Amino acid sequence: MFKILKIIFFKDVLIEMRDKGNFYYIIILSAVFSLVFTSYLDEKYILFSFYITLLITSMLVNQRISRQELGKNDELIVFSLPFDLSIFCIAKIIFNFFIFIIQAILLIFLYNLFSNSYYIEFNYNFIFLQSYIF
Amino acid sequence: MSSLYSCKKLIKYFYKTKVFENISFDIEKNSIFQIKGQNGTGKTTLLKIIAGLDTDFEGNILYKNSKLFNDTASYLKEVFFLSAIPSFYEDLTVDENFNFLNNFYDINMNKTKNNLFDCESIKDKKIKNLSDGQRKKIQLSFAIAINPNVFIFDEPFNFLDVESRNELSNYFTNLKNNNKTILFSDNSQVSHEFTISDMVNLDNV
Repeated sequence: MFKILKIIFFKDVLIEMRDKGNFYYIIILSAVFSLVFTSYLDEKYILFSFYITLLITSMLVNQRISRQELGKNDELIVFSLPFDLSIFCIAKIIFNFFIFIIQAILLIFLYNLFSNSYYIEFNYNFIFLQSYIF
Repeated sequence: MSSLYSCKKLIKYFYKTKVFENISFDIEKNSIFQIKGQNGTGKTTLLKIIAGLDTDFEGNILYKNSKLFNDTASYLKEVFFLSAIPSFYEDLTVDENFNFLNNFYDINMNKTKNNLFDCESIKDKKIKNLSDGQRKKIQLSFAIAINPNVFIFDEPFNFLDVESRNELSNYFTNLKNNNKTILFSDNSQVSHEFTISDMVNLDNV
């Protein structure tokens, strides 16, 4: 099972490093939302702003990650593989977890940059918690 | 010849819409079996049911005299279903797609290189840059490399040029001679090089 998870995970990473560019997508979206929210919201709402940015970006990114598995006819590409396909869901969850770690780190840096002070502390537990929630 | 599949009184509904009703037929081992019918008569649905990919139907299917869904995973190792529209990971190259799927099947990679269609020239191209015909050839090459006991082809001649259609037709006979069973659906009125052992016509049910 771990072998299959590893294979699917590295396939996902390979696809992401190609033209779909979820990583670039995250960077652009996170920056845009952070800028928009910090422009309109007061500094005391910085944590709320952080969460709403993470929520919107993660919804879009999740949608893109799951679309990867669909072929031209909107069917699962691997639908006839001879094992339980729910393993793909587990692989996607692990992949999402890693992507959102990157996203949370990026957002913390962005908010601290925009607000010119350390409103959100760079804390490993906090980052893992965000990745776990989303 | 012994009967490989025995399908009895198959009924399929999509919600309240009837697709087909009371279809019964047998498929012999080492035969070429055709499923005929107009658009919307349920050819693909029937093939998916036989391939073990659609379990929402009434009736009985026996494979080698035992119920089809007793052990789906080991059954799926014996059959291979090819959809009408080839689906691959669009952002990966042909080789990367093969390598990914190779992890789940025991594929003889040399077979993909030496089989009926030449995939060598396009192996480094991304799938999204290929034509529908080239995708179809890759899909067929992959199926042949897997080398299952039962090939289930949904519209295998779609997107292929005349030359490739003839090559595939000849290959069907080859497969049959190598003790393989072939089930396929085809809507075209074009005659084939191979001899069809038996068929079911969904227009008449």
